[in-house]
Order: sequence, then C-alpha cells, then structure tokens
Amino acid sequence: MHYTLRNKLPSTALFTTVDAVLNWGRLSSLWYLLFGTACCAIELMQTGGPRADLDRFGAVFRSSPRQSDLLIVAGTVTYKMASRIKRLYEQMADPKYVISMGSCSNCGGLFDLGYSVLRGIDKVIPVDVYVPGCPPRPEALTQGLLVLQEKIRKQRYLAREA
Amino acid sequence: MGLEALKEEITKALSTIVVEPVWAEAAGDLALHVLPGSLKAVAAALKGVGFRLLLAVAVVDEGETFRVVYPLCSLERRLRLILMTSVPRQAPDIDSLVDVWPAANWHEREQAELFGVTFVGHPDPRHLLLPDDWEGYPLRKDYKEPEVYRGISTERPYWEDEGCSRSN
Ligand code: SF4
Repeated sequence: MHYTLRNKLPSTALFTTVDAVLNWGRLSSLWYLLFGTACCAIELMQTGGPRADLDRFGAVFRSSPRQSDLLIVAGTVTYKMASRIKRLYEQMADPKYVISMGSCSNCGGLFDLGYSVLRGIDKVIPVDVYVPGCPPRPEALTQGLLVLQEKIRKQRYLAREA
Repeated sequence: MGLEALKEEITKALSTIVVEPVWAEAAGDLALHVLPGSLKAVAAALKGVGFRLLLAVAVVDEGETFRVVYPLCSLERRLRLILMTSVPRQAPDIDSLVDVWPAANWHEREQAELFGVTFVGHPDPRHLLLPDDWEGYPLRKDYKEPEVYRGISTERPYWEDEGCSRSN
C-alpha cells in the first residue's frame, strides 16, 4: 500500500515523522529466531544471556519464524541445511533482516574445503550485517545488532527519497 | 586370556568356513582378514565366540580395492578384534551385516553414501547424512565436486591461488 502512496504524494514532514516512528518501532523490537547451526550458536546463547544481555536493545528470541524479524545465521551451513534456512527465511514476515554470524556463515570459514559446506549464506539469502570472528564474541554480535539498528533507522518507507 | 589362545579359539570356531584365517595387526589390535564371500558367516561365528558389540564400520579407499573394516569388541571378555575384508572397486558389493549386528544399520548406510559400497541385503538403503539428491561419493579419492549444487555455485574464491579450488 505504502508504495503507491509514496508515488502519488509529495514528501511531507508528516511522512518523515511516521517513517521515523515506524523505524524506531522496528529497530527497538528486533526479535530474532531461536536458531543456530553450529558452535557460533553457543556464543549466540551467551549474547542472549545475562552478561551481554541482548534484551537491552529489544532483541529477544522467538521460537517461530512467523514471529521473528531477524534471522541470525549462527554457524556452519551445509548444502543440506541451506534449503532449510531458505525456507525459514521465507516463512518470516516482512520486514525481515539477516545477520550472518561468524566466518562459517560469512564465507564457509575453516570448513571451506569440505565437500558439503556452503561457502557463505549470502549465496542463498540476502544478508544485512556480517559479523566476523570464529566465533564472534558476544560484544561483536551486540555490535552487529547495533549496526543493523542504525541501518534500519535510515530506512524510508513512506517519505520519498530526496 | 592370551592372544594365542584367542587365535586358537577363533580358528576353531571358523574351521568350517575358512581353512586358515589370515591374521594381521591393526593399531595394536588383532585383525582378521577374510574374503568378502565368507564375511557374513565369519561375522556370525565371531559373534558366537563373544564379540557381540560392533563399534563401527569403516571403509578405506585403496585404489583398486575398498577395504571394509569392522572393529569388534567383547565386553564380557575384554577383547577387541578387527574384522577386515576387501572388495574390488569395479564391483564394490558386500553382504550387509545388519542381521548379525543391528548396530551396522546406520554405519553401513553412511559408508554406502560416502564410498559407494553396496551393502547387499541392507533393510533400509537410503542416504543417512547426505541429501537424497546428492550425486557422487565424496570420500572416494577420485571424487570430483560438481560445479553447482541445486543452483548454488560450489567455487571457492579464496582458495584458487592455493591450487585447491575444488576438492580433487
Ligand atoms: S565461525 Fe567458528 S565458531 Fe562459528 S560456527 Fe564456524 S567454526 Fe564454529
């Protein structure tokens, strides 16, 4: 709906404000899917735990892709798993975001020479933020989430691009 | 129980199947090398002697042949024994030992998909770990990786310079 609006109406202060409110709502409630494929998932759990405490930024885990806004691909992805991850991604409702966590899901990591390992989750689904490390520390993943929040803050849905 | 006594007991148990068992040593354990034709009978006889636990099924790609290895264990007698056989690469068929040791079921499925060894008489010869549409046997030494899998490129851009861009 908003795409047609965007084309017909001039950019106004009202739409800019509504955009800001929408973005604020989205970036402050990035619920991520409770999902991990290898050792990075352990660090993902630490990030959700009391010390790193991802909840501070409004990010809590959901066990269903239908309720999630964010997919954190945490771990090695095999070709067999790739199609499952793609399906999970497709089951998530828009707007949806993806963080690729760790060397494995960035580029295949240390299993790069394996016959069964996908070399980068971006070959299957679009990625918003890459977090390097093997595994990334909770601080690094938190930073990745903050970077994603900044990215969302700049998005425009209703107001026309200048 | 000494090794000699064990050898003697096994030789006796196998007397109707193999004339002279071929003994070897593998990683410090006693190993018994048999022809693929007598494998199942030997396995049943060994189970009778007390080797009731099958630890794994392994396959070694030796070029012209595949060596199939069955590490056995007897918990009651605190003994280990490795049963081995070799099948030709051209016709890698071997009797399934699921009837003797049910534990062989998943092990054989795994070795079948990774090495292309056919376990004749296996009750459920599906893939265990690889996707159903997987082509080729990835642990064979001459395995060539396909260029794409389900439309996903398998290239390794970071390894091109190292001369190992595709596993071969
Ligand atoms: S990047 Fe490292 S820690 Fe993360 S899944 Fe891969 S091997 Fe495990």
